[in-house]
Amino acid sequence: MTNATRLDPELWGEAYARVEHLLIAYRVSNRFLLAQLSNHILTSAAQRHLAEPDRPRADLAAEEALRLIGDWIDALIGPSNDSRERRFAQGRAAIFLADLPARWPTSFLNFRNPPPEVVERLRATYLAAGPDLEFSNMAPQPINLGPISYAADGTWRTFEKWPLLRGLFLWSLILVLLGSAFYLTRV
Amino acid sequence: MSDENEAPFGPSSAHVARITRRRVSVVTFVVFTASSATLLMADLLWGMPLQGWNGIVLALYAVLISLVSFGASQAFFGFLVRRGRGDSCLLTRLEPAEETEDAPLGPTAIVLPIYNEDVARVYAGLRAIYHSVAATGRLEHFDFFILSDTTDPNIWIEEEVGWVELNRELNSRGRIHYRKRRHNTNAKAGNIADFCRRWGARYRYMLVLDADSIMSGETIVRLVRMLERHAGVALIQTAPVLARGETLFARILQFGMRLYSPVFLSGLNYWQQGQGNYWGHNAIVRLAPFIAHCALPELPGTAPFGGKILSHDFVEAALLQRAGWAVWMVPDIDGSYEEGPPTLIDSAQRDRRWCQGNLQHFWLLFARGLRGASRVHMALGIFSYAASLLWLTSLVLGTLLVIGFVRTGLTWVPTPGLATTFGIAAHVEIVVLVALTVLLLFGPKLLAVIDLLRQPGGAARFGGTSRVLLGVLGENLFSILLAPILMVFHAKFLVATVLGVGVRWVTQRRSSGDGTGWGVAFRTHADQTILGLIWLAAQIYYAPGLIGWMSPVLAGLVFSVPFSVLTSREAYGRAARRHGLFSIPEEIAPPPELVSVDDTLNQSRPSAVVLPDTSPDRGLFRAIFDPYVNAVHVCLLRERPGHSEEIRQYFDEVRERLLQQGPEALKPKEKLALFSDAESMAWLHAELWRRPPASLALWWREALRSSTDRVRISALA
Repeated sequence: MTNATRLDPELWGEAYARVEHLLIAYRVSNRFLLAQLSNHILTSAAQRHLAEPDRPRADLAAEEALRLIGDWIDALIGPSNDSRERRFAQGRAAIFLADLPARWPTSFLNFRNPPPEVVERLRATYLAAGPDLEFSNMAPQPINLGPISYAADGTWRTFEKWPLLRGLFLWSLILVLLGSAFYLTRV
Repeated sequence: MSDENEAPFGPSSAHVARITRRRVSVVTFVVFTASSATLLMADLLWGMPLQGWNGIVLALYAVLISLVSFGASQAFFGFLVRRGRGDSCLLTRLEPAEETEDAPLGPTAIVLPIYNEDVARVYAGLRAIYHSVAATGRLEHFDFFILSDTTDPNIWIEEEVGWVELNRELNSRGRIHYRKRRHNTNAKAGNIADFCRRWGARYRYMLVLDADSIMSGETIVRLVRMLERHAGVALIQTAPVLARGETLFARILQFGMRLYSPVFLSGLNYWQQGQGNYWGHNAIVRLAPFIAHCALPELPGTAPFGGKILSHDFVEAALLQRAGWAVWMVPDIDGSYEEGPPTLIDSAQRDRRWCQGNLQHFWLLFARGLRGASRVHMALGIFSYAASLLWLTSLVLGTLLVIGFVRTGLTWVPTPGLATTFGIAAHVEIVVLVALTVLLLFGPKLLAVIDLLRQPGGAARFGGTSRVLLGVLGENLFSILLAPILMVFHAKFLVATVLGVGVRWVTQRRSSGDGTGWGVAFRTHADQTILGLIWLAAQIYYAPGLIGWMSPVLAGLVFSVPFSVLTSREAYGRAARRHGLFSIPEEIAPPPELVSVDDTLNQSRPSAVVLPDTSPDRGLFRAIFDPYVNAVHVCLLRERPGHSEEIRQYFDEVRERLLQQGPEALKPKEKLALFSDAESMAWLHAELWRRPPASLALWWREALRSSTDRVRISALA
C-alpha cells in the first residue's frame, strides 16, 4: 500500500473484512492463502483509491475482488459466446462442481500456470438443465367419450348456462327423494 | 404342449382363449359367492313389515358384497396359482437367457418428478439407485432426470445445490440432470409430458419413479431387458413394497401390504394379464408409444369433475391398450420400494386427491375404443371410494330400520321361504350369512398367511411364525378400527367432490416429524367422533341390542382421535420394532439400497452457508449471497433474449425494493419472479457484495452478519 492510503487503518480494516468475507464465501479456507489474496486485492483497491479518493475503500475493495475473480474466470475458461455475466456464473458453477477451493486451493485466483487438469475440468463444465434437446410432438388426441358421457356433459353445460334450470332440477330431486322416503316408509 | 406353456404374450387365439378362461373363472367366483350371499339376505328380508326399505338395503348389500367378493376372488385365484410351480403366465417367465445378459440395453431415462419434497430424502434415494445401477456394470445405458415442479423457493435452492453436490460426489455430471419447470401445467402428468417433449426422442425407455421410490439396479436392468424382449409390451408396472415406515401407522400398513399382497397381486395378474394398470411410478415405459398415445386431453366440464386429468396413470395405461400395446404388472419381481404415508391424516390427504382423480374417470368409463379391462380398472377405482358412501348409507339405513321397529312397536319376524323349504331356522340362516360375509372379508388374509407359512423360510423372513400371527392379529384389529374412519373420510370426499369443492395438489408428507398433535386430530376427526357418539347414543336409547353388532364401527369412530394420534407416534412404531412386531423382510434383512438410504440420511449434515432453517427467506438469501449457489441457480435458468422496457422497469423496481427494504417488502409472486429471472439473480448477487452494508435493509445486514459468523466458523474450522 502507498503512504496516501495507509492513513486510515479503521477504514482499510473494514475493506479487509469485506474482502475476507467474500473470499470465505468462495470457500477459501486456508488462512495463509486468505491473507495473501486479501492483501493482493487490497493493493489493487489502494491503487484505485488514489484515482478515486472520494469513494469508500470497502466499496472499492469489494469491486476489485469481484473484478479480479471475473478476470480470473475469463482467463481460465477462455472465450465463449455467452455474456460476461453468464460466463461469470458458468465459471463459478464449474469451480463449485470441481470443488476447486478444496481440491486445488492454491489455484484459486492464481493467474499463473493453473494446473492443466483444473483448466480442462472448468472448460468442460457447462451447467445446463438437461442434455441437448431433441423435441418430440406429444399432442393430446381427443377421446370419443361415448353417448352417455356426452349426454352427461351436455346436461352439465346446460345447467351451468341456466342456473335456474339447475335449481329446478335440484328441487325436483329433493321432492322425489322425500316422496320416495314417504312412500317407502308406509307400512 | 398346452397353450399356457407356449409364448403366451402374442395375440394368438390361444392367448385370447386363456385370458377368457381366466376371466370367466373370476366372474363365476364373484357371481356364485355374491349372489349366494345376496340370496340369503333377500330371503331374510322377505316379509319385513317396513316395506320399501328392505329393497334399498338389499340393493346396497348386493353391490357391496360383489365388491368384497371380487377382492376375495383375486386372493383365491392368486393363492391357487401360486401353488406348485406357480403361474406360467408371468412376464418374467420369458426373460432372456443367460447368454444374452451382456447384450446392449436400449437407452433409458430414469425420471424422478418432484414437488416440494424433502430434498435430503429424495437425493438419498436417487444416490442409492445410482450406486445400485452402477454396480450392475450397465450404467452407460442410463441417464437420470430430476424433474422439479417445486414452488417453494427454499426447497428449489436446496434441490439445485443438492444436485451439484450429488454430481460432485458421484462424478456423474452429464448423467444426472436437473430440470425445473417454470409453470407447473397439468401437475405430474404435465411434468412427465414436458420431459417427453424435450428429451423423449433421445431414449427408448423411461423408468418413472416417485419422490420416495427406491429401486435396485438389477431390477431396473431386468425391466429394460424385458421390454427389449417383448416388443409388444409398452409398460411394465412393478409392485413396490412399502418400506422405511417408522410410525406405528406406517409399520402396520407396510406389514399388512407385505404379507397379503403376494396372493392379491398374483390374483390380479391372473385375470388382467397384458391388460394391466399403471400406478404412476416404479414402472418402465416404452417411450415411442407413450409419446404417441398418452398426451392427455382435458375432460369435459370444469374441476373438480372435469378439466385436467388428475389420476393420469390409469388413463395412460388405457390409452396404450387402446392403441394395441400390452401393459403388464410383474408381481414376482423384488427390488422395488416406496414409502407409505406416516399418519392417518396424511393417508387421508392423499386419499382425497386420489378420490377426485378416480371420480374423474367416470367420463372415460364409456369412452369408445377402450378395452374392457381398462373400464374395469377405472370402475374399481371409482368404487374404491363410492363403496364407502354405500356402506355408510347401508349402516345408517340398518340403524333407522331398527329404530323404526322400536318406534312403531312392530316386530320383525323373518319368514325366509328358502330356508324354511330346506328346514333351516331363520337364526341359522343369519349365522350362515354372517359367516359367509366374514369369510369373504377375512378369508383372503387367511389365504395369504397360509401361503406364507407354506413357503420354506417364509415366516422366518417376517421374524418367525409367532410374530407373524401376532402381527396379523394386531393388523386386523387396526384394520377394523381404521375401516369406519376411512368410510366417513371417503364418503365426505366423495360428496365434496360431487358438490364441486376442488382438491389442491398438495405435497404428500413422507415423514411424520413428531406425529399428529391432539389439536390437529380433534379438528380433523371432529365429525367422525360426533357421528360416532350420536350413533352410539341413538342405539343406547332405541336399540341397545344392536350395540354389540355395531361396536367395531362405533369404536373406530368414537376413538378416531386417539387412534389417529397414537398410531402417528414414531416411539410406538420403534417399540413394536424392538419387539419384532409388524416386521417385514426388508427390515430384518434390509437390501443394500435401503441400507444406503438410511446411511446417507444419518450422515447428512446441513450445509454451512445458510441462514437458520427457520428463516422463511433462507433460500432467497442463499441464492443471492453464496457465489456458488447463485451461479448454479443462474446457469439453470433459461436466458431470456431481452426484456421489454416495461418488464425491465418492473424488475429494476422489485430488485431495488428487495435490497433496500428486505424480502418482507415483496409479495411471494414478486419473489418468485425474481427467482425465475437469471439476469436479476446475477445482478442481485453482484450488488449485494458491491454495495456498502449501510445502504442495505436491516434484514440483509443481520443476515450477512449471521452468515459471516457461520461461514467463518465453517470455512476456518
